[in-house]
Amino acid sequence: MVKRAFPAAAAALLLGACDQFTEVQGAPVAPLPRPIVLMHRGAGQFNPDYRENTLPALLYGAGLYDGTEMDLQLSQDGTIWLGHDNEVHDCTGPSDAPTDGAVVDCFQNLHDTQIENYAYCDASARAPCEPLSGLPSCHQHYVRLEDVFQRFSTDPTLLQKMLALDVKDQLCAPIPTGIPESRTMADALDALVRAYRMDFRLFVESDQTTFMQEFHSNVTPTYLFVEGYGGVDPIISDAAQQDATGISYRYTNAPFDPSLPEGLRNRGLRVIVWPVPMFGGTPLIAKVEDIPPVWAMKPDIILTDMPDFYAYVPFPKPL
Amino acid sequence: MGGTERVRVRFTKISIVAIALSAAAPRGAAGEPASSTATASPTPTPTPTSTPTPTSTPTPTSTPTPLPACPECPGTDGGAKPSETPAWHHAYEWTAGLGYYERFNVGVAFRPSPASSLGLFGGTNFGARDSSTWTVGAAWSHAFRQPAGGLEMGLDAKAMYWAQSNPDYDWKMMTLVFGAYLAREVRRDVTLVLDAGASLNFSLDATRKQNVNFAYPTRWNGSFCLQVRYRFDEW
Repeated sequence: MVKRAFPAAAAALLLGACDQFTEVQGAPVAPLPRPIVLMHRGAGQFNPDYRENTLPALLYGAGLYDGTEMDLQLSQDGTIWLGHDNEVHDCTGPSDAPTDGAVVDCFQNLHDTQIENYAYCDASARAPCEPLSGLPSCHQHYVRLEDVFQRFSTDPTLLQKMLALDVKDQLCAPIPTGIPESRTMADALDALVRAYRMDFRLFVESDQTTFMQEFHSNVTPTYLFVEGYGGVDPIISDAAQQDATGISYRYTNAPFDPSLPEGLRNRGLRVIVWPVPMFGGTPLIAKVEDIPPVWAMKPDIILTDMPDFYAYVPFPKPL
Repeated sequence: MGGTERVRVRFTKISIVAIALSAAAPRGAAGEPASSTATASPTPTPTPTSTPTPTSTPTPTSTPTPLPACPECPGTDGGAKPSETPAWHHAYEWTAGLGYYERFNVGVAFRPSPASSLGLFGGTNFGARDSSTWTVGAAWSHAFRQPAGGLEMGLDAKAMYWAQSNPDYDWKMMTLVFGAYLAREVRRDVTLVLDAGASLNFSLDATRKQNVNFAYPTRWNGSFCLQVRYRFDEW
């Protein structure tokens, strides 16, 4: 018995040995006439006039470009909220108060009724909290994704706008796998997409395998992009294995080369690059010189923090 | 289950014969290491007649005690003759082979016991530049069964670092293989080994040299290796 079983198992493994490398092979997709431009985090990460990931910021950003991008968190009640950090910060009080921006708790540990009491801010958005006259910049409370969909699916001026959703890992559990939260997030998102008929107006960005598997399982009618923060190749690998629409990567992690988006489209993958341009230094300076070469790469989607992005785009400028 | 019982019975008979031989021959002459023979076959002690024996104490008999089972010794199983018991407990081996991830490889292995082996090896595909692959790795194996016919079965595991250059990519990879092997001694000091298993592969570094073809390592794959082992030192 054993004498037969072992050679049989060995033969099965011999025959079952696949190539050591798997090629990315998808049906080619056509390039877009021009890149879709979306405002990053609503109205831009460093916009002093708008709190990021709030409804006024989203409306402002979407009004400037083809749409806007936002970050998603999940509450203990299974509701999707907008927020960049896992933690809810309390920016309800005066910006010069010593407790301004203090961490309340994580989204996943808070109920909806608790989250809605706090004004939005996170680690990177505390500074621009000075109220400016006439602008709804400060003390904007955290907002539900449902409120965003409700607005973007009913306001006639917003019906053509696209939205990018950056699904954040939920890592506040005692054993922070983020797996059950990813599944809940995918299910909640699917329900909202169908309820508000946001079909194919969304670019969903995630790096969580569980989320992507649940997303596919639900057959959610939107575009899925695999997001990554390191090199491009691991993201390409994940996107191919997850049967995603494309990849979403920080544009500085690959050389400016128009043949990269083109080559990926020939393999069935579209490309989001973000944020263009990068900000750096003290004071923060935008590397606007990066905009022309990124534009020349012809990625499918560009996320930017700049309200005057098109001013740096070479001729011919988009309408 | 029945086979195991049969093996035990045979082994006991063989052991009795071995004890009889070792009692007649000088130590080590029956193919057993001297220390092993001394340990395994104590001289029977007759019952002292002058000492009153308590009724509850069992009287030692003069029946020779069978040799303890030696599962690590090939040849002590399934009808093997006592003379096939290896005259060594530790050994060094040269290894050479061809494998899916190991490529053409040579190495050296230390056998801390006749059943286990720890080895290091290096391999190449003899290619150059954009078609070159080389591998360095460590292997461990342990026999768990020695059925009749000079065969040996066991489990093995390997860890390999390998680099491959092709026209599209330069890869630096790590591969872990978990599997089983089948070995057959073709000569007293030469063994042929076929191992197969599942390999877990991940990239440590990759340089893509173009933007036309894209690839990624196959995470779980099959793996196999055919190897010859030559025992060049033993003690």
